[in-house]
Amino acid sequence: MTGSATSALPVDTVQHEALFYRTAQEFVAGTARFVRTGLDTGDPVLVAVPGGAKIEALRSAAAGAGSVQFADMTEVGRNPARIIPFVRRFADQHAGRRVWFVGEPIWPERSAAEYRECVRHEALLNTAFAGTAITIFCPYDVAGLDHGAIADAWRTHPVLVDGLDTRPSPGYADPAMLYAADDWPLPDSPTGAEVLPYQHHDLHRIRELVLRWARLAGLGADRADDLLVAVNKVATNTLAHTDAGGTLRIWREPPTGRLVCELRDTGRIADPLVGRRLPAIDAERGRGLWLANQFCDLVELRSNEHGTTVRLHASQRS
Amino acid sequence: MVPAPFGSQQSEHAGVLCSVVTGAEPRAGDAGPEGDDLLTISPLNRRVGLRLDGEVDLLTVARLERALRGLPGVDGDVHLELAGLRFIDLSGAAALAAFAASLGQGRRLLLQDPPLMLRRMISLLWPQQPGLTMSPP
Repeated sequence: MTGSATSALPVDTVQHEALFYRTAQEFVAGTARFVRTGLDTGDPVLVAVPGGAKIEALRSAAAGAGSVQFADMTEVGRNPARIIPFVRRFADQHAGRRVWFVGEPIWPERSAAEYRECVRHEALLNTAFAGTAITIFCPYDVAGLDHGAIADAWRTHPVLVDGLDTRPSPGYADPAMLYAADDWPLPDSPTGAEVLPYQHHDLHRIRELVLRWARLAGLGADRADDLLVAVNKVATNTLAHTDAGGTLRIWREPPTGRLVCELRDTGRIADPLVGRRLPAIDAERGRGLWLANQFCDLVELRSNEHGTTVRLHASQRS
Repeated sequence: MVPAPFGSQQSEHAGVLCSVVTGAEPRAGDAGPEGDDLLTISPLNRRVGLRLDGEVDLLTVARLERALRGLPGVDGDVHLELAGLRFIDLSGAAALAAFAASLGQGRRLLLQDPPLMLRRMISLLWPQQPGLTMSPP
């Protein structure tokens, strides 16, 4: 019985379950059961799944779903780092109540880079909502995803749901360990990347370079502006937090032609939730990465004792 | 002062507060520790306010903050003409929001023709900032 045990838990506990489904019917049955459990308890329910068809199927399956808030995950979660602040806002709006969240961040068409960040997002959900009264339910398309994705779901979810069977995950891993930089190495940048080392007084040059590549990549003025603000802010962070300057690399990612800007410096960002908290309570650097997450299709952040690498992705569709 | 938010479209560009580097093409950002060639800040001559031409970033934001603080603290709104603003970073947007917050009750900071990136940052980060008003796109 999905989630039925939650009412017995202390109110400030995060619960995080993965549903493995093989067909559309299994998706609807399992997810609608979760939604109805939340509604029956009188709690607020938030559903973010990819595509209008899934939303409509759930809307008609969960009778009385008028009090459920639906969102298209391909929009709110295009950059998976936007999901935690999105859910946090919903939880804050319903403070004092347990909230129920259906989130399907991973689907078969996700790129390899997006997939890596989705897994890290799934791990960080456990960290971000520790101490929050929330039950999180993540449907996984077992038929469409490869075995590695299912193994990763075991690692990121303390509880697994398969049909009517609910059990603890035998593979659940510590979220901080899972998030750690060494687990998710970034592929090398291509040899054709343009390289620009930067110091103070080079921000203008960085912006010129980004704009030139944005035009080559066919980005419209709005998307180019977003990328420009994000790259400029990350480079400004380098100059504010390190003495050694940084290195910018720009390339277009085959086969999509998506533009990638990579900034490397010698700084260290220790907080795994940086860029995923609402900026009012965050430091200057966190606010910049939060903005980058809002403005870019994907942000890859790796930081360890050797330094920090941030890759910002932008494409025309937003 | 009667609030006249966005009535006058023509520039009120008067004097130039900060020297503009002239002569053989300087490399942008190289001129002076505060990027003198990147941003020109000019007072408006019929209203309280400034016209900004160029780019607000790490090098130039301190000059913007000083110019805002130096505006006469009279009643009425403060006008910023931003049609010539080619770039503004997060710290620049934050400086405008903070200045709007510092204005007293009933006073507004009116942004005329803000660039799209400034609209985006304000709508994301300071959507409810009292006194911060943008001209329609």
